[in-house]
Amino acid sequence: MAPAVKPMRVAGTPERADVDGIERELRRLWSSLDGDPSPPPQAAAAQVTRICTLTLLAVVRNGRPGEAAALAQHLGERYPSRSIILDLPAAEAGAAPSVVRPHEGSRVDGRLDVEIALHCHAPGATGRQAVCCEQISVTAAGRAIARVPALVLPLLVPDLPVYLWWPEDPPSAGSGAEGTAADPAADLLRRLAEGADALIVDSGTMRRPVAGLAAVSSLAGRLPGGVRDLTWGRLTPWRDLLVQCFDPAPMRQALERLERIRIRTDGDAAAPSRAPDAAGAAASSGQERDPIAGLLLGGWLAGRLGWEPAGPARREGTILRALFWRGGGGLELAVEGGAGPIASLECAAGGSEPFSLSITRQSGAAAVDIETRLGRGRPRTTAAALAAPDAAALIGAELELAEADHVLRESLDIVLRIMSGVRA
Amino acid sequence: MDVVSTPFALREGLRLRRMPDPCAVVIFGATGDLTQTKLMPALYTLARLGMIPSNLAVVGVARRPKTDAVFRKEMAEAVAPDGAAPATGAKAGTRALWDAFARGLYYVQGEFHDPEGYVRLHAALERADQERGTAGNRLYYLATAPEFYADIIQQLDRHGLVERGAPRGGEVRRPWTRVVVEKPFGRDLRSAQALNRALLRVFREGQIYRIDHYLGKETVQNILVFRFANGIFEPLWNQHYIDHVQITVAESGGVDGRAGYYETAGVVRDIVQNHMMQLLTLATMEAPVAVDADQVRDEKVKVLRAARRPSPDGVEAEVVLGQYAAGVVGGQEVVGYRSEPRVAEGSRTPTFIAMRLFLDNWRWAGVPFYLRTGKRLPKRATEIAVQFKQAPLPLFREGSREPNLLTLNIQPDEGISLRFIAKAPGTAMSLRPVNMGFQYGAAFGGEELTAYERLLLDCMIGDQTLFTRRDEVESAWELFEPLLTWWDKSEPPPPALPYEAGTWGPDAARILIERDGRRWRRL
Repeated sequence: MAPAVKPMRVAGTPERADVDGIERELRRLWSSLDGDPSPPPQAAAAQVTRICTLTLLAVVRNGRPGEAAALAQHLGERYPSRSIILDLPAAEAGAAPSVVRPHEGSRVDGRLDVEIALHCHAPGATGRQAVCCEQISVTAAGRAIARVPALVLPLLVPDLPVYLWWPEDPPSAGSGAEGTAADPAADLLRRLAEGADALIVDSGTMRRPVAGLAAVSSLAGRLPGGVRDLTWGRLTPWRDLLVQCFDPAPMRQALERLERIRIRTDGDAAAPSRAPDAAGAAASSGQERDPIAGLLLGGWLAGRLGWEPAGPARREGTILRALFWRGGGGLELAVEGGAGPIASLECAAGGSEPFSLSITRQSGAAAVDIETRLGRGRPRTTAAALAAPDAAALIGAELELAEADHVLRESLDIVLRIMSGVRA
Repeated sequence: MDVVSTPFALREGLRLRRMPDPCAVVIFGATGDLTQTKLMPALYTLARLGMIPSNLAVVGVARRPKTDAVFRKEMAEAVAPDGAAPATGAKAGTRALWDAFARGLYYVQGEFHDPEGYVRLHAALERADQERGTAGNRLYYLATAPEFYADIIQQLDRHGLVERGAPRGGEVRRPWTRVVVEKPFGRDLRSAQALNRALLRVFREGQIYRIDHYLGKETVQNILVFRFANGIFEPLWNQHYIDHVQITVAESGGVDGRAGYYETAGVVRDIVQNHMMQLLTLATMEAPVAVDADQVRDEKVKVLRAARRPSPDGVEAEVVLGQYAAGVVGGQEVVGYRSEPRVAEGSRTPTFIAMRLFLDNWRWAGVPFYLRTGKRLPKRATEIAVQFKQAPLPLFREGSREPNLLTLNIQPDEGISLRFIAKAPGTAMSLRPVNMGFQYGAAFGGEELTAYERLLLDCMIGDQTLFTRRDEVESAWELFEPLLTWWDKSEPPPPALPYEAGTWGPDAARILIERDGRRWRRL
């Protein structure tokens, strides 16, 4: 009986950093697994299988490509894929071009380095079969960035979905440092998006989340799978929970009479990992970044339930207040906090049948306390699971969805409407 | 408080599209093995994953006296909330979640025939409605020995514990009552009909969930997807292109403590009439008009009706029944069936069957289906293997002429593989068979719901697609009537042919297929 396969990795560097060179190196690595009895010894005993269900193309500008590579490798265990990790070191992104020799195509300025690895793991109980995923790491700086699309687009696996993951601020929504000179990444994003099915961003990590989402949403029309936001993905457990709370008939009636909603979010300190300078940007402006999770959750309720924004939101200290019209009266949404995850949601209705619902995340736990009061009876309390999916789970959830998320689009439209021209 | 049921706008776009109503799950036989090992862990997992409302109530009914507190403690041990935490990532929340879940556990002591117990059950359910907000919705789960089913059903009715409600798809939301019936569903056609009559006196068919846990398996459900979501297989899926089909359900284990039940059941009742017929019908049915409960089950019933019933004296030619003797399985010496505890000396209970079956319809006319299943076979493997006809003309002289084979592996290595012929590299035209495989676990990693989790969720949602309908279960029994009659009533009784544990059954099983010029697959 063959021994169980241990996770393993074989890696190499193509002789030339071009499409042919990369494909040749990939073939060499695959054949080394198939036939070579020399180390790694596990490969010889195991049957090696190549499975690919998608291409994940990650663009990293925070100088930590290793994190993205590890995440892509981890995702590969559930979603076998070819991953391409594109590292654009920030320090060199704006550096002046070095020597320019017009007739020597690939050797002009900037580095373009490529490394290739096969990551193998053994799924299933028997563990005697190794499933291997390809990972191509490309580092490009300066003018080399302009050559990236021509290198990367032919490496996308044909006929299978391509997910472009852009974990940092989108280029046009940067800190403003780009000034008049175009950020070379702006053109890159546009061209890569042309080859992709969906763009995955994370507004919770952006310096200006609302403006950042507005910028990328302009790309949505070209992407069959639309723009996805991991911050929106973090709201899925909340949305599930609210559906569950409001599903019973008396609760649905209460939902139609709602007068106030208050959503609290955690501050920047609790925000998901983000560019190191994002906190600095927030600090220098003396205020938290937009409470994007709370805004999107409020936007979702408004969009789904047909509430019409009565105008732009007002900022009162750390609170954003927006008024909505709906059949039968007005309704106030208050969102308070920073760009971190949702901490609590309260909503209430008065009148002859008063109603209140309060959901509070337990500190440090993947659970919430729920208190419901319907009519003049005693409040009912319970606890429920509230998953706090990690980055891999969030991206994984997006990889399972082929079509554009029109509910996100609708919710974002509401957010953009109430946040446009918002007064400080 | 009736409210017109409209689609809930908030639910749209959520991946968890189906959230059941809050309800009380009443488990009859709550101290039994099934409750501890399957039902309670499944219910808690669903709660932990947020797939069912957090205000679920579970009422355990059994004969032994105990308090709610003791029942909660026993269930905590069965579920091991803290032990289960690391696998889920729900770490710190688990204790609080279990406590919230456990507050909804109630225990009612009662003999299943005794009216007193049902009075207490009535009170417990009212309490659950008050404390948990379960709104009168009831899911009765019959996890007892089958002889108690009729009593329980009757008593539930007598004590006003069954809400018949509006037919499915009605506009008005009312409290619902559903009943889940575990296998075995009868032991022959007559007893199954009697049980159906008892159920239908009290419940509508739309309220009855006859469980066959095979249907909760992802790979079994995938048979339909594979066949009807892909365009290229279905045109080949008939007697024009298929030579024959082999369905194997092989177990390496013996009767393992279930000897008491197994002695009365045997392999036909334990595996063939239910699980293997599910595999057969899903693999051979016509495309349903829609993937909903009735359309899918309509098509499955048609297959069972098309299956050829052998004449009373023709049975013997179509089946081989065997019983394992001592042998070696997986390197371990094991005793024979008759030496197992609680097995009668000289028992002729069959533990193995090989049989040939024909479906007399246009699609399958003339295609033999070879079925085999047994205990103490060399390995655990469940699969459906479809062997295609050979290429019409042998153009190449050298090498393999193995026909194409499409295998749907159900367990343990879930997946699909296709064997075809390829040219071996070299100057000679040498042909070799190669396997092209798709592995479920490799292509879609991660945690799936277990069969019980999936099926319990479906019951609570009210989706009957993965449950057996009355006519389906009766047709399956009816199909096996000639076989069971021959086995039980023939004089002298036909013998169960002994086979050495760790082999693929008696030699007669080999002959059964080889006389048709075919071979069992080597698994």
